[in-house]
Amino acid sequence: MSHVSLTMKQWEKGTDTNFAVVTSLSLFLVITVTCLARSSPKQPSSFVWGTFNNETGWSSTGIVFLTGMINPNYIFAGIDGAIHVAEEALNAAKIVPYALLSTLIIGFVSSFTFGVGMAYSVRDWAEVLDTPTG
Amino acid sequence: MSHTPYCHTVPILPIHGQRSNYRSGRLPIYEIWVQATKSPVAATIFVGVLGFFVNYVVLVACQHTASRLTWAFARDNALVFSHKIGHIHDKHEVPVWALLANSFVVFLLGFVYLGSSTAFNAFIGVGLILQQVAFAIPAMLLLVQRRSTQYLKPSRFVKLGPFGWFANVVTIAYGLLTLVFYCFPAYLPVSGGTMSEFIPNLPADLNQILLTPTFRLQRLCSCGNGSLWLHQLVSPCQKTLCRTTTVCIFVMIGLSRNLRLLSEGWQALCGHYQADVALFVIC
Repeated sequence: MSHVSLTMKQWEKGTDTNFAVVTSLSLFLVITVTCLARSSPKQPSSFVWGTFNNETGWSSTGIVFLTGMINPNYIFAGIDGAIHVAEEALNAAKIVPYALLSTLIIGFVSSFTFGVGMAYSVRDWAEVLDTPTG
Repeated sequence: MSHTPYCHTVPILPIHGQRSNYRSGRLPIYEIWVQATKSPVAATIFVGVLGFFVNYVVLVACQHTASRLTWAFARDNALVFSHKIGHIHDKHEVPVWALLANSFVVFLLGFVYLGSSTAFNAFIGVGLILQQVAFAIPAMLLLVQRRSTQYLKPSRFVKLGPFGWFANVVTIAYGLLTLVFYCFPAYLPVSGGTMSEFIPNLPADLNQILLTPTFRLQRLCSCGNGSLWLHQLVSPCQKTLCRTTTVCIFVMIGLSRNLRLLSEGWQALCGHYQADVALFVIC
């Protein structure tokens, strides 16, 4: 999930950052594919796309959805990093928007795929929620 | 605020001291991976590789960007030891003292985590709200004032067209939305401890809250690189407007909350009643 923050450095063209982007995206692929391949039985699509768990005590699902947005929001917390280092970038007019947009696109596609993959793979949701930080 | 993910990684250090946390405190994602792969070994490897590799890289990336921000603060003489922190190393051409100063602050935040994880979460959570608000203010100014073709030339590389308007409107709407809903408690019923991870911190962080968005804006506007689209946005009177609006928003949030809840969060950090007095004076 953190490859979002990594890709913001992509425009630097450093081997360090290229390595980081490639590795984090590979990790995402490896983990998603492994989980989907190994898990059985899969959750039905009605669970993945049609179930809304609300154990928060709020009666309104809308409020639960809106307060729950805070966790996905953390993923994009570092997105302003590309702007802060704009002064050091060559051809910043081109490369900073590129960094921001690519971060958003890669981040959205990979984390959405990851989330859906994990939702199909999970077996006992109650056990996951039972963890101390769940 | 690029400090936010950075802070996420730092508590790893103090947690290492509390081994029982490892045994009893399973992460939700670990539990999902155990169930999916049917192998605790595979799940542990996933968590280990992600935990160490990704944290390391994110740490470097965040230190990189955050140090430039700190350096820019110091350059405008807005920090203590500004003359030192605003200095760039002659040979390495990086703000070494800004990097060290950031590391030191993060080191201190690690102790806050040991004292009260609620207080720590409040620190990083406030950053998220401020970030959304800080994005919304320039977007609003862009909608009101249009863009100058002097800085955004028709021949520029990225042209969003009508989608730019759409993006700005969404940014403002999202900023307002998060300002309200991120202050809500995640669980009901509410107690002093579970109120909202952001609200108890408000007085402690008041100074930063009042200063950060306006400084960010000034930082963006005073950026030497003419390519930045915010360069022409803010005139002195608008700076005052931004500052006043921001102050009003946060003072309103602060006053609309129960003072007792605020003081409980504050006490979690400080642990004695002198804090109450200080809080009252600040409010």
